[in-house]
Amino acid sequence: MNLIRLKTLIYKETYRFLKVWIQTLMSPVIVAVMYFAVFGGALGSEIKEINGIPYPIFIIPGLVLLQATNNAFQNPSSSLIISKYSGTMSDLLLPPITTMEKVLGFMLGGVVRGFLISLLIFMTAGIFTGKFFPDHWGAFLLMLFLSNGIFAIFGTIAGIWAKTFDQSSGISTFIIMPMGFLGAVFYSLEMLPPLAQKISLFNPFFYLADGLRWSFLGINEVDPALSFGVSGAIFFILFGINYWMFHTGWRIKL
Amino acid sequence: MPILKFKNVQKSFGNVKALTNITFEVKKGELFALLGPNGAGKTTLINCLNGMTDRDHGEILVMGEDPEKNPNFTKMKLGIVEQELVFDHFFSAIEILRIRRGLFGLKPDEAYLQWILKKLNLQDKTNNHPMGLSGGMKRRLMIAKALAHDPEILILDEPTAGVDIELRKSLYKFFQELKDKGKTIILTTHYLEEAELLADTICIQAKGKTILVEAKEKLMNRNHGKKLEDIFLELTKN
Repeated sequence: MNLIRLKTLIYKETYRFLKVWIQTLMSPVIVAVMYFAVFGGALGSEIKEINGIPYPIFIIPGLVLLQATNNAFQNPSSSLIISKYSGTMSDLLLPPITTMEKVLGFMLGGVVRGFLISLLIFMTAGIFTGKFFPDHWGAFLLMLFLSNGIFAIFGTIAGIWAKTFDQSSGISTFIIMPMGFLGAVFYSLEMLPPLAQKISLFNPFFYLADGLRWSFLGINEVDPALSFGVSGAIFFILFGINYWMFHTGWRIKL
Repeated sequence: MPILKFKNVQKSFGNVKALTNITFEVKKGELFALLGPNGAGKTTLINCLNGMTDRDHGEILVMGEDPEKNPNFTKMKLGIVEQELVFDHFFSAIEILRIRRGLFGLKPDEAYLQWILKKLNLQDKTNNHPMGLSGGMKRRLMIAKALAHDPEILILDEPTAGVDIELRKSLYKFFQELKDKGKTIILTTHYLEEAELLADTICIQAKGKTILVEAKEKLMNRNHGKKLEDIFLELTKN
């Protein structure tokens, strides 16, 4: 692995979104604040606490995940589709960038964007709730990395697969958004009927949200080891798929 | 040893044969003109060379190495100026060159990048984004991009399309200067007078087949009095 190549690819993937920071960083933070005001403010007066945690604080990790992972997905997917449209895919094919460097470069670009959004939302929510710091720092950082990493790799896969912007945004609208909203972000599993509880256990987003909630607030609905195990497994499976795609040049080479 | 070797190279896209048994060699330090009408397979051949497309059959060697078996080596040796004007519009001219150099795994060399921009008359456009450049400037930025990692072999796929005559002449001078520095240049162009002026060897392709490879001097002497354009038209009309 050549560190200059990897650093350059990460720089390219992060500098681009930083140039349009109002759209890429501020917009998701404002959306999260709106959710926080509506759900935390309005529902918070009805639902006082979940598992001993005030409702506005309970929803913070889920809100962060919703916005951060969506943006971690958008970063590589839009970058790759723009490359297909503009013809700049050759920038990726002509230099001797290895498969591993490509996978890591696109993933870390998305992770940086997701991390920055996470940080901004946690800080903004902290101003309203007074809860700034996580209960378990190491687990918190690891789960943020896994969550953003999973969606950044998923975004890379989608960007390679999709031939149009429409196909990529279709994944975002029909897969990621429902998965996020139905991943026990705004509620506890106990509040659902038994069948819905069982179905929720097949939603990967639930494990990301529950793991992050445990690391930030110290409460959980399934064993944190299970949340981290499921998240880690998904991360490595997607990593492997993405590695294969870049290695074979599927839908990238002419 | 030739710096580039193509032997029986074949490539099809579905039922369409883009390349049929392409065989020729390029010597180090020469300017090799690869000519042919539209659809002759010139760009496909270049894409097989640089790894953008996988060939179906045959052998390609870049300084003795196969681009499919040792892509890291061969990619470092090749600088490709693509036909299309393609840029990441988020970045300025100098940023585009820095990124290109970095993606080749090379340490920053600001003096070298500034030298390229100066040679291509882009020294005043360093911080301009591609959208603010004229067609000719974009074409020259494409050449600068291909040179950012200082390759041994420069492949120019219609580098002067849309460039005015004055700038074209300054580019010819620059290509000659690169040649004098020992670089090997492969030029594809539809301006045949350009090939007649610059090339050491002429290669003519049509319908995916090589129909002529010959030293320019020998070719012109053999066809005394005729222009390259006439020779080209005679060979390709059938």
